[in-house]
Amino acid sequence: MKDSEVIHSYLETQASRCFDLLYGRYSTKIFSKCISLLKDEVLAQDATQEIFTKIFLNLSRFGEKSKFSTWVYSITYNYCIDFLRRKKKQKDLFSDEMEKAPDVPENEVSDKVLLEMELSQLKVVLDNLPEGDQAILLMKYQDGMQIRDIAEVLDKTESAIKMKLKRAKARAQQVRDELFKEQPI
Amino acid sequence: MNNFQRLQEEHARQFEGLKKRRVQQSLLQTFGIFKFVGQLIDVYLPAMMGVIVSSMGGKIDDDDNKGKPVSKNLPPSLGDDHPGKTGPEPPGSPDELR
Repeated sequence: MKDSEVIHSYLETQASRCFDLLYGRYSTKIFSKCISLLKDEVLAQDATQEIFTKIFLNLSRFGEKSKFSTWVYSITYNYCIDFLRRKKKQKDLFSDEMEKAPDVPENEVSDKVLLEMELSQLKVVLDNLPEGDQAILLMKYQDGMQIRDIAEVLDKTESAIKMKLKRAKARAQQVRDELFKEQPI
Repeated sequence: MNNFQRLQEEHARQFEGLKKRRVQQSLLQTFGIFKFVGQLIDVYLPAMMGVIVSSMGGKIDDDDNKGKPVSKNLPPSLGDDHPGKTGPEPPGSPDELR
């Protein structure tokens, strides 16, 4: 049964079977993103619960303009970003970093470098990146989201997202080089 | 599957089992509360509005009931003939005098 069919059925009948189906499909993915960004298991569990509450309370507003998974992930990322922003009292995790950002190397870091990074290294590298960079890399390489979709989720232009992605990749490689100088990728 | 997705799987394994079920139960409880509050509002809000309007000296516009038989708007004890229509007789009624 497709997501859209389950949603229609849930909106008509409020059947708990539909809730169970959607929960089964998305809860672990949501939790995984939450724990990656919030870095705390208890916080991630609470966040998963609140995100699901938001999803089900707003289910009738899902317009099917995008895939349901994209909509779910956008709620998830925005929840985590808002949470971190409040926690750090940081104005905007994705603020225009153009002025304060370090110089980005002319040559773009290839996707291969990130995708083939050893799992243990990748974990450490992601943990040492700013949350904004982490989120954008997860959207791109974990969820396989298109630049257009990422731009929609973060309410930025596509070119801004391309630049942020380029910077995030460069920073990831920089962190990897600093922490694992001697080790191969 | 790339390493980002493997990382996701690794995190997902942390959530499987008891934690997943606990969050699910919690969610079902929350939705149960929402449903209950919604039903309360559905039932009592119109009546409360009526009380507020009449306590402020207003009249409830009862257009919906125009044209309907009067008995339909009365409580059972004053409505059409049916068992239990009248309830207990008032004091001083013929039965009591007998």
